Amino acid sequence: MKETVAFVFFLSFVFFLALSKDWRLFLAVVFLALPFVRLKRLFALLILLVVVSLPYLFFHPSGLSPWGWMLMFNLRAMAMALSSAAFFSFVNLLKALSFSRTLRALFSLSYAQFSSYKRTYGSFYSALRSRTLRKRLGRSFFPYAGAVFSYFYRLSEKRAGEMNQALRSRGFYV
Amino acid sequence: MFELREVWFSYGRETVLKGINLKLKEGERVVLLGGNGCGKSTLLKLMDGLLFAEKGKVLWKGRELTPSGLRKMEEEFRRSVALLFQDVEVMLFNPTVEDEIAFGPRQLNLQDVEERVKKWGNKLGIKPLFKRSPAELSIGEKKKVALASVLVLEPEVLLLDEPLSNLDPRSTGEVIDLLWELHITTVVATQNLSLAAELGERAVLLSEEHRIIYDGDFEGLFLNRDLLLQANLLHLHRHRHGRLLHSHFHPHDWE
Repeated sequence: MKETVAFVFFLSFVFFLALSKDWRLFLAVVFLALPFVRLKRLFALLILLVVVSLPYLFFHPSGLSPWGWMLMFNLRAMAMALSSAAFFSFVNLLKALSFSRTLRALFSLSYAQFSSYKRTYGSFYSALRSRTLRKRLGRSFFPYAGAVFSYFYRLSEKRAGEMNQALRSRGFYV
Repeated sequence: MFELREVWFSYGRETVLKGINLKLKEGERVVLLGGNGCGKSTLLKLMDGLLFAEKGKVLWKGRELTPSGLRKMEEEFRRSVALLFQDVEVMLFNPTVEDEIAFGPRQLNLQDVEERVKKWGNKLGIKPLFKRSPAELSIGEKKKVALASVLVLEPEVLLLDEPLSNLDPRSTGEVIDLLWELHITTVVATQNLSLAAELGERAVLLSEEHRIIYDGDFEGLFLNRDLLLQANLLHLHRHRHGRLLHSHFHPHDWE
C-alpha cells in the first residue's frame, strides 16, 4: 500500500514536471536525483538526448534561436528520466502496482521480454565477436545490424503470439 | 472428455492437421507421437482452446470449442484443462519462481494459493528456487517451474508438449513418476520413442502427411516398423565394425 501511494504521488510529480517551464526546478531535480543514478544509465540518456536534439538544431524554424528550446527540452527530459530512475531505486514497481492484477502482470511480462531480448542480443554479439577480428568489426557491422533487426522483428512477432496463448491458457483473460 | 471429429487446421496455405478423429476418455493417458512439424503442438493448442478448428469439431464434455462457445465457459475450462508449452520461456515472466507458480491460481481466483504453490514446489523439488527469477534458471529448471505452474491448477486434463526435453536423466525419471501419480487425463506430445511408452498406455501416431496413422497400444506400434519409418521416428543407422558395414534401424533420440 505504501508503495502504491508513493507511486501515485510520484506520477503526479512527473506530470507537474512535464507541464512546468521552470528551468531552476529541473536543474534542482537533476542534481538531487544524480547520486542515485548509475553512470551507464546516465550516458545512455545523454546519448538519446543528443540524438533527439541534433535534428532540431539543423531544422528549427528560421528566425528563432534553437538554444532556449533545446535547453528547456533537455533539462525537462533529464529531470523526468533521472527522477524516475532515482524513485525506482527505492520503490519496487511490482509492489506499487499490486492494486491491479492486470497492470502487475503486464509489467512482469514487459520486464521478462526485455530481459530475454537482452540475453539474446548478448549471444548475438558474442557470436559476431567470436567470428570477427576486432579491426574488421566495422565492416561487418551493417550486415550484422540488419540480421539482428530482422531476427528480433521475427522473434517479437512469434513470441508475442505464443505469450498471448500462454497467458490465455493460464486464465489471464477470464 | 474430449472428442475431435474430422478436424482440419492450416497456418495460411500450409495444412498441418487433416481430418483428425480422436476420442479421449476420462483418466486416459495418451501419447501423441510424430516427427517435427507433423502437427502435434497444433493439436494440443486446439484442445486447449487457443486455436479453433477450420473444419470439423473439437468437443469438451460434449460442448464445442468455438470462440463464442469458449467465452461462455472459459473460467470452468481453464480450471479443467492446462497446457505445458513446448517453449517454456513463453510461460515464464513473473519476477520470482514463487509468483510464477501462483500466477494461474491467482488469475482463476482459486482457493489456498499458497498451499498449492508449496505443495507443487515440493513435489517438483524446486522450492529452493522460489525467490529466484525464472529468467536466471537453467533450461531444465525452467521446465520444472513451467510444469509446476500448470500442475498447480490441479486440472482434470493435462496437455504436455515435449515435457521431457532438456531434462537430465534423474529429472526425467522424477517427472515420469509424477505423471503416473496424478491419475488424471493426460495427452503428451513427444518424438522421443524411447520414453514414449513410459508416458501413457495409448499411442497416437501422426504422419508427416498430418494424419493419424495409428491409434492403439504401444506393443502394436513398436511391432510396425513401416509405420514408424513413415512417421519419421525411425531411421536406418549405418556404422562400421572394422571392415564390416553394419546397418540397423533405431529411433532418432537414441544417442
